[in-house]
Amino acid sequence: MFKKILIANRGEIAIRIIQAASELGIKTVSIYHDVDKEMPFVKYADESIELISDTPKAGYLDIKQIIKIAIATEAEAIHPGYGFLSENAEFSDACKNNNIKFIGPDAHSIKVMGNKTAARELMQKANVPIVPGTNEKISDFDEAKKIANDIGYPILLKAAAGGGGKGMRLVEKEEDFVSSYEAAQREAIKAFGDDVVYMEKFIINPKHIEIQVLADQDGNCIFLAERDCSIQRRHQKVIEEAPSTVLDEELRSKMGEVAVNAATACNYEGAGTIEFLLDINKNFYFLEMNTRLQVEHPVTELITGVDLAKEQIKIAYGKKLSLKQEDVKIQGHAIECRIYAEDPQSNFMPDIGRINYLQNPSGNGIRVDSGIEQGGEVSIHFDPMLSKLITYAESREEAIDKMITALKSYKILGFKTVIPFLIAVMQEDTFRNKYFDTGYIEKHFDFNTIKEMKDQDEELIAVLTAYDYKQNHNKRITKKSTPKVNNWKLNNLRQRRLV
Amino acid sequence: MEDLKIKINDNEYEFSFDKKFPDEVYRNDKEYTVKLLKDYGNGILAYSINNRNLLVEINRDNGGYKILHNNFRYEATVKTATTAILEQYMLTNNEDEQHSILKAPMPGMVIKLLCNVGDEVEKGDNLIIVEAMKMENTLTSPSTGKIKSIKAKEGTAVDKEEILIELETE
Repeated sequence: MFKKILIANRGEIAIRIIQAASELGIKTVSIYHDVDKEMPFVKYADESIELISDTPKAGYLDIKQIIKIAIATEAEAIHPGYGFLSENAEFSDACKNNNIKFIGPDAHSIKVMGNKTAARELMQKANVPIVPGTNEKISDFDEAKKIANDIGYPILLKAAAGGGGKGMRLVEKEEDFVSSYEAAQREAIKAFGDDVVYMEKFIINPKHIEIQVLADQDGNCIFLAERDCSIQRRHQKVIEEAPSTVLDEELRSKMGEVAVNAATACNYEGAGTIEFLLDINKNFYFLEMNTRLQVEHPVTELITGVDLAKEQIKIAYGKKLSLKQEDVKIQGHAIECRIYAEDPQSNFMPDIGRINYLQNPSGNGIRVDSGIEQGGEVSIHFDPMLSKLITYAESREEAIDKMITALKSYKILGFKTVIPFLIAVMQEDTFRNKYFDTGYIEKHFDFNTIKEMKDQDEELIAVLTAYDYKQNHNKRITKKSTPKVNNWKLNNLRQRRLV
Repeated sequence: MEDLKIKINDNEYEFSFDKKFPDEVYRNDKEYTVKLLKDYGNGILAYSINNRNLLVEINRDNGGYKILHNNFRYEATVKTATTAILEQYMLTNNEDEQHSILKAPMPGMVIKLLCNVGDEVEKGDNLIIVEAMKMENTLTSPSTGKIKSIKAKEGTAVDKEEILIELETE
């Protein structure tokens, strides 16, 4: 087994990987930019090396520097996590060229699957069903509008190098085409450094179903059931679960087989995910393949009993898959909620601040994958995801109820979080009992339920305010506060009253 | 301690006290027994009110309270009999400001201005796009009126609470 690996990432996923490596007896190296030096992930590893760069993000994307650090610390392999360089073919190659094992697929797989248009072409050849659309970059607007009319509105414009909902725009009519294209391109250049935008038929309110695959260096490939990630906002996942309420064994086998074909078609190695759109008639279409570990991997781990991070490392070392397809069994139900520092009552505007108090939920069937600690800061430099809360139980209903209890006991003070929104979803009828799709938050969710949760405790807060004021009013004599009326006027008023 | 009027949103709550019972707060006929269970420091407090447990973060700021509880932020103002009289003579206070100024809700970069000085806008109209936390956020007008001045410039960074656009409201 590797003796030492470097984790080229930060936050909760860095901790997750460090844990997996440590369990395999591997020493770990973390890298961090100065703004992150107080973060828990830095201290979790055995060694940590600072990245020098102009901006924090640039540090984590600095291939040369990271390779240099790996060589200097004698790390035999690098795990890229998710985001950052995890789907960067150049980085995969750079590792190879420096005799460092990249824990993931080779540059070829990353390139072909990372480029959405190339991926669609490859899938067509492999007889994997795809969403109708273009495979080329849009360069001529008139031509593009013609194709859009052929495909039929609404159209989705997507960044070829994209992911996570960035560089995406929905176009409902021809008049909006150009401005939407420009916005999508701007976001794409900023997030991925690539301006290629292509288009796809927008399938109205599909479910988002993805299949986890594992492939070793010997060409063995298996799938580990599905994840339902239909609860999304701005195309970013918020709640994920496994298994999905709409898949039966037959559909699961069919989609799993297609997923394995997709992975095999690009000679895949490691852990990967094939994302599909499932329409109301249970037709599924290839959306994209993520050639890395996903944020929501815990739900698969809980229902299959497979440790995906450890499998990645073992596969990278050259070990054969520890399971055959017939050994893969799923049991129970798992749900994951992403905990973001966002205000659900202000259209999920990100919030920042210091974590003045933190208490994680814990107990039977509760898992928290966290990157934060009390006293830490929520920074503006990166995504506002603080942690992932996952519950696991025998049935879906039990997993949901367990999630409600866990969310209520998750205490984070210092800024707003989406926790009230998550509780409200867990209690809501459509999510609990009916068919829900990617249009759920927009169409089914009633934000008034959150307001009601807030209003319920308003009187108690008023009582508390009154009590606090009474206790402190002697100390509060205004030294700091700025009067709303200027002092001259205030003095004159006081004089008048005395008369 | 004189009677207090606590205002949260549009609701006003009147409370009175009794020197003999320092842990009690009274409202109409209702009695609240308040017990501080633990002070964690930094404004974090665990209270029990009529045996109901609350964990809050309290920020006292210029006569206003910002209280975080259960992931909700409550903004409360305290009025005593004294301040109530002064208020009659006060000029435009904070409330007006809220309606005619658009501030940056967090640090970011101004991507695009969607309005011009002199434009007539309605509450909720898109005025400006600010990028923060890797996403583009479109900010909307806090009220109906006319754009008085635009302080933000495309391509420049802004701080949290920095004034972006000023409106003239009726």
